Amino acid sequence: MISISEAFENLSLGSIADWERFFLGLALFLIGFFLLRILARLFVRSIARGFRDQSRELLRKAIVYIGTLLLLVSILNATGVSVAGLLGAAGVVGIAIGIASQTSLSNIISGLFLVSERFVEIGDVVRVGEHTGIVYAIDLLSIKIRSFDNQLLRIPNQSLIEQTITNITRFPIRRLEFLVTVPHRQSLEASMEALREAGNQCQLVMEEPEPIVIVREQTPNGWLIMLGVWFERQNFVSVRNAVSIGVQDVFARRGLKIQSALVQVEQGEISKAPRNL
Amino acid sequence: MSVWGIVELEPGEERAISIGELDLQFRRTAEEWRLGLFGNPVTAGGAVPGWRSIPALGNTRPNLVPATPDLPVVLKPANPIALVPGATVHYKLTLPIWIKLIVTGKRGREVTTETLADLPSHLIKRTWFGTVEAGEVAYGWRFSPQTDHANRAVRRDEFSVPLTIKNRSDAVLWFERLMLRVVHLDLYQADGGIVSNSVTVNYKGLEQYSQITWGDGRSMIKSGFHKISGCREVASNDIIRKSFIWLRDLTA
Repeated sequence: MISISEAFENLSLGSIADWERFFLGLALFLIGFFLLRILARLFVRSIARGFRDQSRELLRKAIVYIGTLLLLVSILNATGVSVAGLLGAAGVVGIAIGIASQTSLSNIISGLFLVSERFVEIGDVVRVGEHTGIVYAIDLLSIKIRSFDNQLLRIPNQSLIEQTITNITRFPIRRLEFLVTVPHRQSLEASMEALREAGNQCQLVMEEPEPIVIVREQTPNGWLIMLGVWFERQNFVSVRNAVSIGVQDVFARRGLKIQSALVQVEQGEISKAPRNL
Repeated sequence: MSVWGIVELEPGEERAISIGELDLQFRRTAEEWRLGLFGNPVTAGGAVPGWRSIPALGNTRPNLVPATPDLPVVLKPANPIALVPGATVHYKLTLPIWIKLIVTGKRGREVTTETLADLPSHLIKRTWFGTVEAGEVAYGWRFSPQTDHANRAVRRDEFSVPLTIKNRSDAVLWFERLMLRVVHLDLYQADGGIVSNSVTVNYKGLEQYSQITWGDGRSMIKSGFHKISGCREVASNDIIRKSFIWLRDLTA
């Protein structure tokens, strides 16, 4: 009767000792990998507790990736596999993959710059090009933004590095500007006072820094005046609505007018063109 | 008659309480308590005006507790006050009171409390204290300097704070604003209204931090006042914790 080892030898799959080493190595790798993930998570939770979300995630991934590599090399070494040959092959494969994935590498490096710059954090409201939304995740290759109509946008890091990003909620308070055009003949002083009152009467507008009223320019339709009010960033929608309503109310109460675009229509006969030239 | 404390009503009874701009209504039926919150401060306090129902289980009863504002208050005198070196002034400030609507009940022998609403008695505008990049949200409050010799009774929609400012520097102190962390103040019931423990500010010059001391309230209790509400947040004098915060701020 043929033994199992003979069967393996006949199949040219190596001796049973090789298979034992292979399964032992695999088991060790799986256990080690599992422990490594737990250790990385514990490390991030305890020592890096004060770090920002994206830094913690980056640190965790770095521990897992580097740890996995070290684990793999150690297990291969312990099971008698020559690591030198593998490393040489890995170098060649690495170059090939590197050439083939230039964009991904570029994204990874851009991502590292973005994270180190600390310009955006998870939860910030940002504007990138035409897109505005809440930063949902900062990954190695891209940033994910949840738009206000609940769509998830993926913006590659490389593209982010090249364009202007506006972090709307970086600072705890913001200024919101309202532009109002008043007729040329209307008193500027009265209009400015009305705007100031409209800003001050809104409860969500901060007392300090005080609301600011500036005459921007004289346009064909009238004087363009700006009212700037400071508010806590989370009150954006309420302040925009309340101050707009306030401006309308105060102007109406004071008998002042807000100028819309001026369209002049004149009534009269259209002169007839001569028939014979 | 004090409005503070547990609201005791028999089934079929109702009671309305107005504190400043806030209107509270309580109705008791056999099955439930109906609590009505009305007035502008309700929205400002982050609640929705209207009625709420609480099943009248066991010993469930609403309780009204006075509280200090939930944010620091930036005090601004009507006109800047100049304090010459060595001068000490005492003020009796009156600030709007906050109302905590708490529901008390019993779970076995244990008395349970749950805060249903934490509302201001008046609408107060918020202000910013600090630079536009870093600072703190606070309530802005203008006051007319009124020495603590003045005998005006404190209304039920306000509490008074005995404030002492000492100019320990060699220069004139222009007192234009002061951030008062009212969350560290306890409230005491006195005959003339609700009063907090005292606050003393020692100004040591532009280059040094002013030292702020909170009265511990023992003198108030000795004077016959009783503590009606504890502070929202205990002031920390822990030097080790402060050092860590200082180091953290330095390295942030």
